[in-house]
Amino acid sequence: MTEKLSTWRWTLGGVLLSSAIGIGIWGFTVMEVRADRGEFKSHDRDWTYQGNTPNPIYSEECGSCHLAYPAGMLPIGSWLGIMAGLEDHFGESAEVDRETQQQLEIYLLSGAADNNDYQNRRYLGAPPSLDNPVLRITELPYFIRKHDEIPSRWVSGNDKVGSFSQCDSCHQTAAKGDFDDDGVVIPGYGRWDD
Amino acid sequence: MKPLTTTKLTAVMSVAATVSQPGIAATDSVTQLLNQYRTEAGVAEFSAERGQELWTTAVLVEGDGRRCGSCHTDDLQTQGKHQKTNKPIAALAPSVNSKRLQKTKTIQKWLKRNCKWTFGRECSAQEKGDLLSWISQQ
Repeated sequence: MTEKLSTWRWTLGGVLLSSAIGIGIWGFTVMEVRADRGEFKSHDRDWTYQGNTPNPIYSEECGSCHLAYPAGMLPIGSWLGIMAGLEDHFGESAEVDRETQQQLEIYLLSGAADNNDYQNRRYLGAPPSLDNPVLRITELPYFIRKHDEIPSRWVSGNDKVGSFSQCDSCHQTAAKGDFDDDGVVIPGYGRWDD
Repeated sequence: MKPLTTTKLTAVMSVAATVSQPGIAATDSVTQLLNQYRTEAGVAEFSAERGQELWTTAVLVEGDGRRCGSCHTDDLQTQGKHQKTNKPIAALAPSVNSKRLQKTKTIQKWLKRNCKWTFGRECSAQEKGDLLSWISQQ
């Protein structure tokens, strides 16, 4: 009888212990996946300029015409592709002299998604391609997923916005590198409530 | 004292002519660039009127009728707006925006970039001189 009870106890103990360990491991795995998707608040700060101040040359040369998009929003291959084609930069000449070109490249590549945080590239969903890189932030799988609930009439069909490239039309704090959902106001439609 | 050579004399007169031109509150950078364009174009003077005409004319026959004023407006004392990104462009007129026309490098960069967008090619020294003369008077 005692022997039977002992076996039973050992079995129960074993099951409980492995469940606890199993749940623990599962918890860690899920946390990592969610972090990869950028679902943790702290990861939103990866775009911001904290510790990665917007370079004055970058702000002047690139930020004169459009928002100075954070370097961490594109992987290295994409920045190289963009910097190699400044003569025809989405239909415009954005040429800079050789020295400026080099300074911009150093800034962009050192802060690129691949370098900024080891997880950034993964949650951008961009393959680190050098041959055929994604050149538009708006074409990144991460970007598309984050904006899939926004109808086009709020953006491209909205004169006050124009296109998804105009981040700062809706993300009121974009200039600071803060793209948090909480700071979104869609012109003509109001505050975005996720 | 050595007598001035003809070349030196011409250079001095040309600088004097730029500085004394009425209505121009030229910065050193503007003066320097106008002299450079004058040498390149082989002309004596630039015309602000021609500059204004170029500013307001759509040169490209085909396309969207783009011209300088598409982004900067035709009144340089007012704020402009980038055609594609809607980003505000600070007034270009030095009379209302003292940051303008301060650096030769910056002036050259924008003349190059924007002539290409607006006219589909780089501007000639003559055109750049005319445009800069007009802009510096605004």
